[in-house]
Amino acid sequence: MTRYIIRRLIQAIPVLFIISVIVFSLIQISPNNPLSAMQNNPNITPEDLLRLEQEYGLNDPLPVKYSKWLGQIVQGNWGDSFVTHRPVLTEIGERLPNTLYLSLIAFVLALIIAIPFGLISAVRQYSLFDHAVTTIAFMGQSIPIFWFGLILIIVFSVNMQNPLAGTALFPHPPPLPMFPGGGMTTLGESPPDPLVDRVWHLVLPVSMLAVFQLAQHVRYMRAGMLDVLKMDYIRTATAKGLRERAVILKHAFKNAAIPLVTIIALEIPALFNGALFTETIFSWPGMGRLFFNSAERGDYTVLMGILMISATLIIFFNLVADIAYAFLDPRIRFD
Amino acid sequence: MAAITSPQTALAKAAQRYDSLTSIAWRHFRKHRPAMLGVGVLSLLVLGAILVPVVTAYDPGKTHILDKYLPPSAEHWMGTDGLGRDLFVRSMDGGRTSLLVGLSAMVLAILIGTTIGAFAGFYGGLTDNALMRLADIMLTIPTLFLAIVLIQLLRAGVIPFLSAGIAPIVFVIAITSWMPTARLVRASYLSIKQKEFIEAARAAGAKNWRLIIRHILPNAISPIIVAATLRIGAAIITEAGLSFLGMGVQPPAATWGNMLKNAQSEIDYAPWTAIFPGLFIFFTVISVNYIGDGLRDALDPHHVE
Repeated sequence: MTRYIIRRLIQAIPVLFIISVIVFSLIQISPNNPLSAMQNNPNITPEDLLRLEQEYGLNDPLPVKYSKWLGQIVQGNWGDSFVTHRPVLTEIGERLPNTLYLSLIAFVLALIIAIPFGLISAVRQYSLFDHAVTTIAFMGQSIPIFWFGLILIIVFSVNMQNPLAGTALFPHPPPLPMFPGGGMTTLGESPPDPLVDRVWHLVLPVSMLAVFQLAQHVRYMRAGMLDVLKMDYIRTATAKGLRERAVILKHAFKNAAIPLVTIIALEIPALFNGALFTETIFSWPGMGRLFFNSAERGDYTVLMGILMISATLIIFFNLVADIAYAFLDPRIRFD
Repeated sequence: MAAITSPQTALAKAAQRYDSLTSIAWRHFRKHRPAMLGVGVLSLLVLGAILVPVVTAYDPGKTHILDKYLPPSAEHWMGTDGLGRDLFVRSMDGGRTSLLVGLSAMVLAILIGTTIGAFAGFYGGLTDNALMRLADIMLTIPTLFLAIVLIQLLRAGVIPFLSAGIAPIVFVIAITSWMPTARLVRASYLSIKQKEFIEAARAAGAKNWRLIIRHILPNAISPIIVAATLRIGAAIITEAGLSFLGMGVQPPAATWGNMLKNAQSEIDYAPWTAIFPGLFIFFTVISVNYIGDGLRDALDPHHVE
């Protein structure tokens, strides 16, 4: 197992290298000039701009620029943002935890809800419960996630009032929205209990981010379970007198979870897409938003940093999923 | 009296017994109620998108600033937006673009995916390795991030014929979504190329391209059709998402996505501008997905007749 993990980690290096070449070239071909913000600054003369372009090497040929960038990365220097002039790692370091915090809570919540619903839906196939679950899951997969976010704001933030406004939990006098339509915490004015405030701000963005995953996971959990329940060893377990609970939880569940792990591994990159929409709609200061703003400004050092870090995270979580396979299915051997 | 079967009825019976695969599939598909409902809803939407902008008294693009933010009423079924344009007519007009983008992006993505998958599966070895590593790499870059970089590049006119209208977004959606199809097609080609009938065709002198297109493809087509159907829905959602971020089809042309772009800031006083365009996306995508579901069942070769 250790050897397998080490081999996978070594294999990741050429992949990351190729990604960096492709993405770096694409960003450099696009005509956004990272210094364009300075062009309208009256204190900066055209000569200054030329000097800066020289200094940053913006007019160097592509291979030269790339090798300079790579040379710095290898030494652990990710460069500075062209807009804020702060180190790229500081910029990302402030935003990445916010994205992970939001995504991981949504991810875990989706799993915790999806597994029992998928299980019961499969065990009670064609029951009313099953029909309701499959229909809602199908709807959840067809809904545009950003639109769902807007609808959540209309319902819970614009049209519903918080019944606890003015109490000890929420000192703000009414009218106060049921759930806030943006931000991570309440700004200014005597904040309530910090934990309550954080959770209160999490409800809508987490619901938005979780709905698609939830729908997907329920369907795979149910399908996996239906396949496993037909197997001979399940009939054997039932025939020898085991209670249904034990058959389902001990014998069926682990095998039924394998397709779920596959789909989770495939959906990891999509988490970043979801995060960009959630962060845009709920003004959440995360990495997706940072990427979008940097793309508009041509701030390529930041763009490269975010792309390389997200690609690394995707590779890492894929490896975790593969290890989870081995745990769920002892027949899988890595060597 | 013993019935003597005439040659005609015998022929008719034989014909009945050997139904074509398409008619078997259609018989199954017809029984899939949600899929049939999907066909109905989608036909209505397509019809509306074609007809409504033609027959209505409202011009989908013309602004009537005095009529801005009117709530839904008998005159304006879905209300009006910040420039006084009728939302229903504009949604139908935008639907043309959204459906066209979804359809074209699907065709392009399936073409790319099928070609790459077919080559990888048929030739195997180094070709397979190179193409599938390419797919892996594409799957390691977050799609939306890549799409944003690509869209900016295309819109700046790096490739002249892909710089305006719906061309850049169609291309970007296709280039970021062909990978699952390629994997699927590769798997089919890998298994079908081992079959005896391929060996027979090769012995009869069929060239490689002929084996790929005429002999293997028809046998691998069912999962491609299902993937293609589901890809339309995904493409419509991606278009809407990119347009919502301001990276898609540019105003004044309407799409369901770019109609939602301003809606967030208007949510307090004109929520209908956010609700209706999204409902159209939702109904289109769920119809297409149910049709895909129905096709998956109908094309499943394990049916017991």
